[in-house]
Amino acid sequence: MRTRTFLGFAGPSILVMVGLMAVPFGLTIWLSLHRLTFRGEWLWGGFGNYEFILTDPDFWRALEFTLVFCAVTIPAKILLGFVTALALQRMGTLARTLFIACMLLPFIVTPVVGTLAFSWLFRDFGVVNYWLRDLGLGVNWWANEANSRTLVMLHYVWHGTPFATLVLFAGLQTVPRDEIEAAIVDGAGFWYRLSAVILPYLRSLIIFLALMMIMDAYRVFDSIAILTRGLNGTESLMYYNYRVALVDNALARGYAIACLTVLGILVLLIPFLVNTWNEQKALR
Amino acid sequence: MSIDAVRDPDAPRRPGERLATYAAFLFLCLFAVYSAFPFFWTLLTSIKEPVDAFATPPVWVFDPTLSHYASLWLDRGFGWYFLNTAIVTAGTLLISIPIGAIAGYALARYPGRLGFWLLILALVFRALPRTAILLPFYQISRSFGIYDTHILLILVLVSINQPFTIWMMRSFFMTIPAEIEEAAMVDGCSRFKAFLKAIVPVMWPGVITTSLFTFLLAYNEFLMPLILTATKATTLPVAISQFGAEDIRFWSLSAAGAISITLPVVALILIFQKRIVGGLVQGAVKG
Repeated sequence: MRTRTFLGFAGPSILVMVGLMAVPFGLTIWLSLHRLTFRGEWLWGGFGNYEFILTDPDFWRALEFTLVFCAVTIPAKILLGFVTALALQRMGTLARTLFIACMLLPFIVTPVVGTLAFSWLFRDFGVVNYWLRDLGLGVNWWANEANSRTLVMLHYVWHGTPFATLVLFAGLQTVPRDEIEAAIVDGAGFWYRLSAVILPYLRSLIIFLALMMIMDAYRVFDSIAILTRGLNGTESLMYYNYRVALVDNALARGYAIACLTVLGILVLLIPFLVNTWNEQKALR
Repeated sequence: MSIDAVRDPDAPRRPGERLATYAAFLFLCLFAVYSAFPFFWTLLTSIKEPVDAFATPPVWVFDPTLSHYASLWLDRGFGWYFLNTAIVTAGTLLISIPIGAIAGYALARYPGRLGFWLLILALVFRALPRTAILLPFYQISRSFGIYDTHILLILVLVSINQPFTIWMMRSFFMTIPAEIEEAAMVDGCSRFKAFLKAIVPVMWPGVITTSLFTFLLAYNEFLMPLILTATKATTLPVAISQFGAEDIRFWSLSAAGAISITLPVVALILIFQKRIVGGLVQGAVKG
């Protein structure tokens, strides 16, 4: 295919991505260096917005929470997803189909709706909270920072584990059967097979999975908006950005936060990019 | 369904293995309940009278009522939000899929550097936090009077969805051998005619899978309509988030709304489970 033909076919898509993503993103950067007057004029403001944001304690709190959120939920999802994937592998086709149908619910159903359904269980008259009280574990999940953060992360693990399960389950199918059988013939137990055969084989897949999950957990918004509205130390960077720009109506500062979050995701992804780069180099 | 029917036929028949399979089955049952219970309980709440909905201890047996659904759809204008969602979702599919399909096709067939960089660019866009793009749309749409319209939502959804669409379409077209359209081109067709004649008839599996995910993105999106709509173009997720989630007097009503929004997605899972799972893992396992 020649370049001209290629541009003809890909043109509309490129136009959409440049016009409706690259240009707005450029505007975000440009306007983050401005300030908005009461008359609605945009005046050059240099790094004033950034100065304000970087000295705003709420920003650092949101950054801290977002990082804690990633660091807790992502390993939890991968671990739980891996156990579930191993269990799924022992099932026949029918049982697999049924279990996967149930698992897809938290992940595929509209996140706002899933979060609402989840949150109702934990409210004062919620059924899970009722059971917890019976066990002497009843708490008000909206009372303090520790409880609210726990609730938000519990929800996120509930919502996101199925994706890890499905990806790891598909990955398990690619582990060469004869290598596992060879290990069994050698008398290898379950843990040895896991650590010496299966996990090394899935290593790059798990890294890829973590990469996808970082991108998504880093911009968590829907569940925070529904569960806590960012109160009790559960304000994520995206929620902070939304609040400053559209609730507090400081749009110019909102642009600066958006730029900082983009910078943050790039920094977070560096180890993965380096890893991918090295792997590609090793292949050549 | 008996335990024997679900055992992995390849599993070695040692007693320890057998026990492990039982344990796995039990674990998965618990996991399935854990996954589905919030929705199941919401379904029950949506057909309970308010007095049953927040009774302590929780009640399992009650006289079901559909009155909340009636008041939701008839009095609360839920149909209006549903229509908005339907328009926005359909519009997004109608624009995003055709332009994504031809771009994905071109990316699968074009060997040059430009294609590689386009794919990288798409990956970068996929990682961008939504606000970096939405805030300018908010500002511009307010000054140009297209704030709170369907077309605005459709345009933004199409653009946000493009990176994913072209990646998915490309990996699908890679599996279609190039000889198919080359044969048509030998017969004197232009590249585009060959695409229409030879590729379009065989591309439906890829189009359906991509459409499923595009549908879910448009149907489920929350932040975008939250920022870009006020009253006229409000979609279902934003509407239900404002139905009084915290006030228990509205629990049953909200629950009826939640179930109404969930049902189409459940239908998709039942019909297209294989395609959804395939699409979800595709990028990960190949990449």
